[in-house]
Amino acid sequence: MANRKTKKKVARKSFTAGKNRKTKTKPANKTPRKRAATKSKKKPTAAQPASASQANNESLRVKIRMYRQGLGDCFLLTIPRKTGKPFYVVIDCGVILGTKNAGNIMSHVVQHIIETTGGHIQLLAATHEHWDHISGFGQARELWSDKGKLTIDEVWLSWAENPKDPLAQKLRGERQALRLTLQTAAARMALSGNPESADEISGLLSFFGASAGSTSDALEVVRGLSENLRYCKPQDNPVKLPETDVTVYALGPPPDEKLIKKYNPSKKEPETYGINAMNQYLEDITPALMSSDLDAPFDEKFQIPLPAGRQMAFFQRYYWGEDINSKEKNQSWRRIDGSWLDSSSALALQLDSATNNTCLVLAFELGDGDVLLFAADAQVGNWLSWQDLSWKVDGKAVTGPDLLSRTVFYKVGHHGSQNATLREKGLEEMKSLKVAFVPVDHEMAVKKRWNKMPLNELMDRLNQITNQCVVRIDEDVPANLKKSVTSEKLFHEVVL
Amino acid sequence: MQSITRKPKLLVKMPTGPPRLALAFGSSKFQVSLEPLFKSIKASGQARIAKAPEWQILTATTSADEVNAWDLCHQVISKGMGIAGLGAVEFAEPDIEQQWIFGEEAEHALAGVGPCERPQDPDTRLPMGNGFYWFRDPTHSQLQLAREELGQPAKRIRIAHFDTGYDAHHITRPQFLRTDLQRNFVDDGLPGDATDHSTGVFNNLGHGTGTLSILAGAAVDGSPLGGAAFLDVIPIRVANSVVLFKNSAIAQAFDYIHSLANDPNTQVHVITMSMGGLASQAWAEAVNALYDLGVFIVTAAGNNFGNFPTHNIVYPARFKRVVAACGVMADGRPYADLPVKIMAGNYGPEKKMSSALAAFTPNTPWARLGCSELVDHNGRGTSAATPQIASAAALWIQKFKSKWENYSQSWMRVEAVRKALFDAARLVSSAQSSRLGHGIIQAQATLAQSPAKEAALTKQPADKASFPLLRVITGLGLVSPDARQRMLELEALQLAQQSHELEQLLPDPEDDPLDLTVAQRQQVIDALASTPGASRNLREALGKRARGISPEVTVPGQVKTADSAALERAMNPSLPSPVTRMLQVFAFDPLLGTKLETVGLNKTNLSVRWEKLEPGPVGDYLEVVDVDPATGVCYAPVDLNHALPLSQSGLSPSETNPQFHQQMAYAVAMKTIEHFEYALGRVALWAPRIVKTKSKVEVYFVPRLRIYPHAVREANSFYSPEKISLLFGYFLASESNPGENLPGQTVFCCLSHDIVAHETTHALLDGLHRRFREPTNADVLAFHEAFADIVALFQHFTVPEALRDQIARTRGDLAQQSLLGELAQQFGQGIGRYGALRSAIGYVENGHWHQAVPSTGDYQNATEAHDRGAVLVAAIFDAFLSIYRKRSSDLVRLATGGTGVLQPGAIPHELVERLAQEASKTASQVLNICIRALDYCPPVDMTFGDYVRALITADRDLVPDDDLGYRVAFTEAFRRRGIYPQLVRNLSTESVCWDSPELDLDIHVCLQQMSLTWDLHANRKRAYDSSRHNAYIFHEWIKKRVSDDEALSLGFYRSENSTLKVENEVGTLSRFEVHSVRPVRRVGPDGQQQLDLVVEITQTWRPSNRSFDKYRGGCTLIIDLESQRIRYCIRKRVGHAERIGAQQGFRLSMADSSIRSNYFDDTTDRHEPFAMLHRGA
Repeated sequence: MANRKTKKKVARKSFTAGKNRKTKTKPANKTPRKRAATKSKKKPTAAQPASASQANNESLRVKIRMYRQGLGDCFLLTIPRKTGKPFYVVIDCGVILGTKNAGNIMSHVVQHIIETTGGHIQLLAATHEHWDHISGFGQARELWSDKGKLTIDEVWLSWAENPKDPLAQKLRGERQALRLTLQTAAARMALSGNPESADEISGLLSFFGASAGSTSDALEVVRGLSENLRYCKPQDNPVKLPETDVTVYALGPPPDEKLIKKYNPSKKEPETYGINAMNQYLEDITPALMSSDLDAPFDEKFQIPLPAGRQMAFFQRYYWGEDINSKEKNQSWRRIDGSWLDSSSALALQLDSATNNTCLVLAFELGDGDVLLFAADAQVGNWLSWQDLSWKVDGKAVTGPDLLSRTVFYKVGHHGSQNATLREKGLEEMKSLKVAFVPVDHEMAVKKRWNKMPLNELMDRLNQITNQCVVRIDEDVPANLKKSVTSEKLFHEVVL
Repeated sequence: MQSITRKPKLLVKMPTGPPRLALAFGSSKFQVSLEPLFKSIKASGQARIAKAPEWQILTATTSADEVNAWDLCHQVISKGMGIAGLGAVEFAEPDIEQQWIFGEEAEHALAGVGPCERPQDPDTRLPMGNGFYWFRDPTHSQLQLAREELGQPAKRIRIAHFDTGYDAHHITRPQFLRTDLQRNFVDDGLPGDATDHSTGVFNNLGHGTGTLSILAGAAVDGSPLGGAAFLDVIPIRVANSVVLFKNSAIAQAFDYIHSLANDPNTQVHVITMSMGGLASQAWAEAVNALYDLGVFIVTAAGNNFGNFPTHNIVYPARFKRVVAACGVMADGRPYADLPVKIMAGNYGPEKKMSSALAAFTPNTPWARLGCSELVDHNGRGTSAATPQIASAAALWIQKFKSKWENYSQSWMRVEAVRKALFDAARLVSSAQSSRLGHGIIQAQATLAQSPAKEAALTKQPADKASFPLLRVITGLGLVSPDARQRMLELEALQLAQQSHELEQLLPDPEDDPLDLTVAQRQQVIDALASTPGASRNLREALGKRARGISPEVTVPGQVKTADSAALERAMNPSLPSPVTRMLQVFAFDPLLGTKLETVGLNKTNLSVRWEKLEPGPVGDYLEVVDVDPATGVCYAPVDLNHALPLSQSGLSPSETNPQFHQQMAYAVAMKTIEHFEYALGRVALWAPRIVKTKSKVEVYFVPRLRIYPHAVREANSFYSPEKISLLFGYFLASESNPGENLPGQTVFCCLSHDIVAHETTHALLDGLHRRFREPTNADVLAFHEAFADIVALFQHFTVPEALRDQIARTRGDLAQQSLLGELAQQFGQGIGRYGALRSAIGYVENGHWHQAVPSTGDYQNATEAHDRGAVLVAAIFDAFLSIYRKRSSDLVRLATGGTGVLQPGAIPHELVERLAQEASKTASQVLNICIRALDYCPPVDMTFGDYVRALITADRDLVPDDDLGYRVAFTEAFRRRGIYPQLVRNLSTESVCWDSPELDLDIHVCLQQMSLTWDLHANRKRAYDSSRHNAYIFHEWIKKRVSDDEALSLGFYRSENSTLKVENEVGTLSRFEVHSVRPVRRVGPDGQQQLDLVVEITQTWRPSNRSFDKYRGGCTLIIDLESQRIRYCIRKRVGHAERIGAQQGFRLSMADSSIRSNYFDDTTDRHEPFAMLHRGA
């Protein structure tokens, strides 16, 4: 069955192939900058997105759909083409681990994408190796890989997923080593009676899926979806989507280890380990995690194994037994069984941020110069790197700050958390911002004890800037957007 | 077992009552709910009568004060449930939550997270048979042969598998898994789902998946894994994923099996359970009921390490009506009595072994949960042995099913299986029966045994959980003990099961107590009575018989009173207590001992105040507890009162001896405490332990700071405010980048004089000002660190050994006085600490040390906590240098005949000695001044500017005339670094000192009611109590006698729960709190020492729409007890708009710089703020 179809569609041609190396884009259109100047005046309401009724109008520039699968990212962009069917872009497809019925939900979402697109997606981008962004490729593997139902012209990943890139290899190796240690540490914490801290770490590690290898499996599925696989780098030339007037820029991730490991704006990063300290931590606790005998600090003759120590009157009185000195008899609050693993949670946060910084960040520049920004889960180092980016398009320079200042639509980073939307050199530079989409499910986040997801202050500021045009997965569409947003149980969709 | 609990759970046998009721016990009041434990098992033999007592689970739904669950049980028996007409409670026992030990934590954790790529290897320390499935081969259990003999029966008998559940997707999942009958007694809301599901990343231990694969695992390599692969298996989940189970869950599972017996289609023939623990009466009754129904039960004998805590078989395996599964290894040796670090199986007591069998372990196959195609090779413990016996029994029943069902009495079925298994078992020598019971199971040989004739079967007497010795002890005789007595026995039995000592004294608690000598009995009584966790009821029952301590010789009663007293004295002459105890320590840290030029000066003696010490050392202030969980060991506590260390200033410094580490940590920490007490003129207190429950806040006095010398494996040490403990780390110096250390050498933080003093200071400061660890501005956290550093630094300077050699060696540098700064910087360098903090003092350039040049921008420009702290340390150090220079200049002039220029060559030893003394004396004075200032600080939101004012005011109060210019030295040093108090016009002493309050309050009445006897000789508990009492009096006084306006002038509001608007933001004020009332010393105008009083008052304002935000304010009052007036009011107004704005901004900037705030509410580590701060260093 599959054979029949594949024969029909042998080796689809990549629309980026070859173009990447060229310095010039086809001069079929006027320069985007000029269009921006002329067209923006014609727009019906400058402050508001187009209304839904205009969807079929000639003025339709793009439709952006955010699926409402839960805490996770899955976006579908519909870009009209002069001839024939629209150009479809899917960015990410995942939901956080622990979501009830996740498999069914994601299959439902993928099925819906197939129906909408008629089984043909021109561009699929998977931003980074986190479960809440790519779980759907594993959970609905059959649907994705069924060439009879779905064809995908081209797949984009970030250079950090490129197995041949030396820096990507190095970073991946480090993350894997740290992840294994942290998993073991979390297990030890759970066993030594500290389930809360263990949960905290497990919660952060759950971004890598339920068991070892599950996110890399999902990513493997993504890699196999098209022969045209591109590992994007910010220095690559922007890509013009064929038969549209949309140009796509890859802003991140920065090809710079220091920036990948920069997680917050302050210079000092007071609460985190430096890279050396991280290695030191691994050196310190790994032997103890892997075996209890090696590297014992004292000679065997001093060692009293815990089961024997537990029977000694002294340790009964001052550690395991009841506290006869206090009115409070239970002295478990004073025990330190898991304290040696406490620093693990700081490291789990770093691992999380380091992975988030490998995000593929895409800016879609529309024909009139307006920009849609999909920031994935990029953290500070990724954001800062955009400042120095610059491309030559039709002989003119386009810079990172330039794209930021023309951003009208912003896919809010990392479900609206603190350090995933830079304030200065970030949000405050988005002078044209009209709509923000936040793929967040606060109730689910709270279940994971991530009470700060989304960050209230950030939501407030976004509402202020966009004049209450902030759309969230877990909320109904705000009143003043009702006209331009189609809202169903399964998705919110805005027409721009 | 934790018998002490805030939320008790009991199993109670009583008539059915209302589902909810209230239960009072002493001061604790619990809301409890009741639900039936047994639905099928009813009071045996009795006809159903209304109000017959039945087992029920009593669960407290609210928590209250701690109770001992056993004492609560006794109260329920003696006083009932407090409901008239409910009828008597027949029996009650705690519903214990128990952990099944079946391996080491480290192994479990690794197994749990390992990738599904390859199986875990067998333990090579222990034997293993041929091939990975050796346990079932003809030379071992013969299970494969037996299974093949039976083939695939048409009508399958049923085995109930009690465990953590099963993995629905594993290839070993049994072919005939009766999921229609599965049950879950662990997770609420999932009664019909026994899968062992894991959430999150940590795959759980998968114990049930492992045992199930041995029992009835489906084909792996063509041949089924388990012996009972072709029989029905009913999965029952009785324990959670880490094999933690409640007694009630197992009892309910037994009851469920009981309920299935009525229907021949569901009837269960065999129960297997690879876990167990402490005895339970409810279990005993369930086991008896199932025996009467003909259900064969086999459970695991239990595991131990080095026979700790006991090698005796656990319950329910210990019941005679249950077969205990012991272990035998592949080579036929008993799986018992192995080295202490290797897990072994339980055995004994002797009488139990007549109903015990052995099966193979360790290194059996073990299906791994979550890895659907993986079978590990390291199945171990009696967990692995149990299912082998169960499957052998089941195969036999299957073979002789019709005959077996025809026994006239149901119990005979159990006995018939047992006889067949026992008779066929192989025992190489009778000597092994003490470990293997009837011997090693032989499944095929068992099938050759026909069912025995009825006459050949003997009924086992009913099982109970008893401790006959207690009946003799309590004089109640051996017959028909009442409920109370039986409960005492059960408790004693549970205690004995957990005590190595009791096991040694009384190998079998069920032995005839009359066989014991009186002395032996007495030992058991003493041991029981002194067991931690024993209930008051049990202690009282043993009470009179437990040995007290009596004097060796007593004076006869006939002697006249006066004479008697004199004689008493003569016989027991009192010894004067020594004043100090000398203890050896490293003067710096061990690193210096490894360098040739410093090897000589690395040891010194500290003279520590004499106190009564117990091993640990445990004294009045400190308790050193040396547990090292990362390594999985403890180190014996040092006994400094032992004649040998006592006679030679303690143990000599050694890195390799943990007992010396304990001694050094104790000595240095005590020294820090002494400095505090000397400076403050009163005994020091630790922060109290505060427990917040839903209904109230409990505050407990903490007599001792706990010190863990080897708590963590990292280059970090910290004070834990939550545990009120110091946790010291150790780590291996990096192989690649060892710094000053030897590569691969272990570095111990507790051997650094500085680190111990630093951490102790954190604890002392927290005891004084607990709000100082709330980061409300950049200075607060910086202050905690800087202050701890200042104390560590100057305490170190008070040790002349630390100075003498440097002064002598660098004589030429004396003029610049740089050596002390250099020395200061060197402190702690080996540990890699303080680098940032002390770099403010100076720097090394071209091999020469230079003092840093201060600038008035230093303070403003340092925004980060460590940098800011460094500025304060540098300022204090600068002041110290000026004072020292002044004090030593005369010595240099004397030594140089007035020129001040030293001759070339070594300077005279006497001069070195005098200069060192001078420096040491100056250091201790500076230390005093710095510590005394703490009493003059605001209670919240401290800034460095506040500290400057506190320091100058405190010093002026103690030393009214400043002829040596100390205060000038300090203000000058602060000024040069830009540390200014707010709203102060100039830096003259007068304007820097705190102001007196605007209002003159009459506090006469209030002071009269207070008890003010807290000084250096006070009992610390009493000091603590009187401080709290005084705080209460002060609080009442403000409430009743102070007007709203007056309170407002002190910086807070009298009314509680009122709303307060700050800059358009509405918020709520909490009740004002009086935190601390403590005495402070000063010198009166007549030169007489006087005590003043410090009172701290705080209040919290919470904005209504941001309820997680807290903004505190309040004041510190210093009250002159002589004139009964408030001398100073150091105020931080509550609801002060500017301060609130600043604090808000600071909080945001903290959140900005923290990746924690991507997810969590708390930006700093919840529990260990200091650990966090130190890691950043």
